[in-house]
Amino acid sequence: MYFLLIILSLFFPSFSFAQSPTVDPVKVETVRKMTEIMSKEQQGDSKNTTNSTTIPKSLIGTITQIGDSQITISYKNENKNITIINDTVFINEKQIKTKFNSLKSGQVILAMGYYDQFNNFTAKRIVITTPDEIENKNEIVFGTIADISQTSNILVLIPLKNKNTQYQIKTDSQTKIINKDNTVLTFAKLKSGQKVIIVIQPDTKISNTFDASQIITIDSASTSPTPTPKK
Amino acid sequence: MIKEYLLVIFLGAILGFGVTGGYYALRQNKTQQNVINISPTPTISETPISTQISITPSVSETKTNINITSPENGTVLSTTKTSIKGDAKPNSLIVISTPSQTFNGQANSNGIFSINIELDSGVNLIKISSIDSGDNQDETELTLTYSTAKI
Repeated sequence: MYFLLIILSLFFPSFSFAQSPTVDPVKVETVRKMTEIMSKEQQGDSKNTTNSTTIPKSLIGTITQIGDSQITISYKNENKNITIINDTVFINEKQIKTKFNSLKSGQVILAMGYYDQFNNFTAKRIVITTPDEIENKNEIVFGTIADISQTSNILVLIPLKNKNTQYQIKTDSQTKIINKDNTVLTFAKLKSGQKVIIVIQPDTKISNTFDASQIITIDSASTSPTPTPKK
Repeated sequence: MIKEYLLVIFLGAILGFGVTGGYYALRQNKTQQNVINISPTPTISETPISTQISITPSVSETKTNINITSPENGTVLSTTKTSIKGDAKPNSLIVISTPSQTFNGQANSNGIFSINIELDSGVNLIKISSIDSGDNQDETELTLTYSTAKI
């Protein structure tokens, strides 16, 4: 009887080994890594999708092509396709609702809508505008004051980026003159040789002359108050 | 005589168990091998598996030391006030020019800045300049749209 039990006990372990699946640690690790990567990718995609589909975006440009349900616009030598849907609202220059068929090549438009997960832009609102509306004529120039007029509020600025250029800049009562700490200064406080940042726009009436909307002085020493003799 | 019978029965049982056990073990292994062969071999790719979606157009085409992190270029905002956040060279002076106003501020010692601005109605092409301690000027542009229209 004992002999039978001994013989049987020899077989049961072999059965259990044979039936238990063999686990390859390399394969398990591979599958684990794959799952991890796929999970991360899915998370990343869902984030992108959320951002792209929930935040409204805008595109500006000149219409170059009009299709049945698509417009191509060009801005800074880059073409963008805009998908038009039934819900797309069209607004003309006079802020009045118009129709898709009123759009023409060469018109400047502002399209507002959403990107989908494939980076396709669908417009919900298209506003016909003018080139001026999408421009910013301001220029931020950093340079040194070369000369200051004693009789009028005009100064000459040499930009640090291009010392062969000179800007003749006019200031008026609307020009904000401040130092780095936002302390308001007067035109009289400006000095030749001073480093300044000036926000300018071309003067529409006088060529090669610019209007300054803001002047920020960089040198703290030059912005210190000039002592005035007491009478 | 009984001992011989018992021995024969035991030997028969051993043989029977052995053959049956061996058969099952072989079959089990074969099934597992078949399952592994049928399933696609997992491969780990260095490149992302799914398509990468690039939704953020670059703020500037030229390489610059000023980088805007928020808001994204082309964003439509429903409020006039927003903060321009980004990074530049440490302690740089930052000047932001909207079509109608100018705002300025300074980056911290890590180069991080956040400057509150006010948008005009419609498209705002915003010019942003940074001037570092070495008098180097860097520029970038950002287009934001302020609209209260339902989109």
